[in-house]
Amino acid sequence: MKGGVTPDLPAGFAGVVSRGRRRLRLIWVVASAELVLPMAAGVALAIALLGRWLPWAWSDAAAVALLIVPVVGVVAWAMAKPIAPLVVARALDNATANHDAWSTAMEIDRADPFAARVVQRALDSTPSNLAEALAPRPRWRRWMMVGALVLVVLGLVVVANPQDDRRAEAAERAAAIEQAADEVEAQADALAELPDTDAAVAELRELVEELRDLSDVDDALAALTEAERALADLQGADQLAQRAAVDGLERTLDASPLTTSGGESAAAQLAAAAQSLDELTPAEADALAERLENLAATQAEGDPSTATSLAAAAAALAAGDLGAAQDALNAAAASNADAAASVDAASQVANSASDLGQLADRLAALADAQAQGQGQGQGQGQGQGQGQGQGQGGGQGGAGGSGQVTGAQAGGNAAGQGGVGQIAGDGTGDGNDELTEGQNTSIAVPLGGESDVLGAGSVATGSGTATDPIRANGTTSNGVVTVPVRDVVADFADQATTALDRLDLVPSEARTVQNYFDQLAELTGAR
Amino acid sequence: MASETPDHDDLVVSPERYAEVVSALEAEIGKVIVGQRAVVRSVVVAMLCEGHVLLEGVPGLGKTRLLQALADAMSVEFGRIQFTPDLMPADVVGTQVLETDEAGNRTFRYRPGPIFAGLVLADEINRATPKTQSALLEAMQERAVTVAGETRKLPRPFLVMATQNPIEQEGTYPLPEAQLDRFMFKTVVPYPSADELYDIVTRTTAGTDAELSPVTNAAELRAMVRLTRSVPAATHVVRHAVDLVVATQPTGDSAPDAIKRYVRTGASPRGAQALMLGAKATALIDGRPSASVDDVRAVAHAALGHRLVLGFEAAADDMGAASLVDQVLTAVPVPPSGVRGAP
Repeated sequence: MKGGVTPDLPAGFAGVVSRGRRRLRLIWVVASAELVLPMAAGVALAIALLGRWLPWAWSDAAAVALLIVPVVGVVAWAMAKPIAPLVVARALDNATANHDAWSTAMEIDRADPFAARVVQRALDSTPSNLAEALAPRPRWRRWMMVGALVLVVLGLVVVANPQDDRRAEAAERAAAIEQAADEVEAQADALAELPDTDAAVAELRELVEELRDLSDVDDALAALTEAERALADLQGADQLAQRAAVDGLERTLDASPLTTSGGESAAAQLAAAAQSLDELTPAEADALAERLENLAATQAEGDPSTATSLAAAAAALAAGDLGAAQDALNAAAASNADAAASVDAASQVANSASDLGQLADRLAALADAQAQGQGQGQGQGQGQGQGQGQGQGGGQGGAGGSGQVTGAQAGGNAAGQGGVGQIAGDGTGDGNDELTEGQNTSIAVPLGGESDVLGAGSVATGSGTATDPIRANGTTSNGVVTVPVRDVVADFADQATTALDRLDLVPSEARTVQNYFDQLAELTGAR
Repeated sequence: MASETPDHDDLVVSPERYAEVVSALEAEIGKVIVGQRAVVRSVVVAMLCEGHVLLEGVPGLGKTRLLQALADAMSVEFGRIQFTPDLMPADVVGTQVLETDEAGNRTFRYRPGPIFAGLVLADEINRATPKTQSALLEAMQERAVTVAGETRKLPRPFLVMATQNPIEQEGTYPLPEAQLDRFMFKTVVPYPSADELYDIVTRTTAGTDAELSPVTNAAELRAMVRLTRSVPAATHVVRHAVDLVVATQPTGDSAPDAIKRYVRTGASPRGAQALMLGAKATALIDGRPSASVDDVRAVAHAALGHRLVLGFEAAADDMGAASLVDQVLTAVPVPPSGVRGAP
């Protein structure tokens, strides 16, 4: 015997071995499937069931894959599995109980005296029906169990999964976060075009990366809020003061142009004034000097460079040095233009912060809506709530009050000391309310409150569009003086802007107040 | 029939003749031995392997008669030794005797003992003293005896067929393990069935004994022994024999718990040799040219049982060697093909 080494197959063996090998592969497939499929089907069932309780998007696919992949794997493995001829011989021997005729014939030395007899006996013992001799012996009970498990799993996959809605909501949340990231990225790209916005752009880009890694709305909200505050922190007191100064100068000159050609920007008016100094009469020059001095006083805190130039122009003009005044005015115009550009960039940053707040609001609304939907689905969550809102509005009617206008202004404070008045009438306004839950009652922010200019006032809530500019009539100690609102609304706005700058408000809220004054200015025709 | 076979060592026996002789031999023995086919087959198989056999059974079961019938059915010199406590080694292997020739010269001449026979019946071997039993050791293993410093070869085939009585242990000398190991097979002779006993009674009380005819001779028997050894066996068949023997050893990893608990010493390599030779003879008797796993397992009880040295716990739990061999056979099943799901 050759000790287990399979020699060349004797004549007539190859065909039997080939057929036997195929039968053994089939037997192996059946036996292996009996071993693997119950486990795979059990795991698939467990996953499919857990997919009913956990929001796994992959549970059904994984369950089906666990039913298919093992079968494919077993068949593929069987096809690739090497089966030696001696193994086929052993299987044949055991299947036909031929006393190891085939395996002995495979191993026997051809020179052995018994070789011919052994080979012939092996051939004689070959079963006529090899398929019957080497037939798979499935354990039907196990196959029935597998079949039942497969049916249950497929049933669970086909039947609607209550987790589908939750998965859809999760996908919606993820899409919302992704969309927010895209929008923030667009903001960052837009800001990158403006000067002095590197810190804000870096902050926004960091936020974009953070949002793209997040899937939880609460985390995204926290990131947005944090970024919003970070952008607000970038708005230092100097920038806010500069903005107030630039905006105030813009409004003042818009309301009372330096030159006859109104409607131009402050820088343009200053430049134009510089060019027209030669045409002024002495009285006009004095008046202009006084005006410039007053303007310089308003710019001293927010835009010192422009204030210095304006003061220098006023001084030169008062001294009759038109050349120096012209140079100073040109310098003031340039300085104001630079400040305006800086303010514009800062405004864009503030807008970005405001937009972040809106994104956060949108995500929060989405999360609340989904939470409410789930609550309704469970029969809870209905109720009436209260909330606060911010409103803007204009009213129609007259306002009476008394006050004294001193005319003297100092620093960045509001111009004049107004009397105490009350805006009364049928006020109308558009409420821009932020609903928090249920049905809300909007409360409008009072127009002026206690004010040096307009005094205390209140605006009734309502809806509608103002049809007439607000006018305030007041009486000074020197007599009856009528002061149109549009003449003071710019100063009023400056005061409000300065006051807002001193408050630690979220930019989005400050922006809302600012919008109010912008609308008020439009209504009064002040701009 | 014996006259048809030539008596020389160049004789070659075909497997067909082999099976034919065995069949005829068993038929002849069957004339005087009723039933006991397994015992007869075991003895014949051992004889075809030139292995020694120990028959164990209670008195009256035909052990001696079986061996006598075996000798009568073959033209082989037969020697019988009735072992008794006063039997001396010289009574077995022979002795030097002083003789005077015609010239008056006295010389020692070796007179061979009864062991110088092709088939030696050692009846009730456990009644002889260990000293006398040991006289058989060299003869059984070396097939030669040494007397007065001179070694003399025994004729071939040389087969020792011993009997022993498991009861009446008073005054007996249990065979030492070394000597037990030299017996290829130990076969327990069971009680006959009722039908067999009926036949026994009928035959033995009729007044005439059956006449046995020799069916073979020593030369042919030697040729059959050579043929037995030349039978091929597949690797896994030999491996299975080895696995069975290893499983009888209590220190082996594959040994079943019963072996580890009750057996002090397992089968020796002679056990594996006995398994394979017995399997080959069984295959030829069955008309097959190669040994199989089934052949190995068929002779497992006879080849392994007496090679297990049992401990006291086995006696206490009435655990016999046959049961332990059964457990070994269960623990070492027929080797499968190696393909999952396939036989």
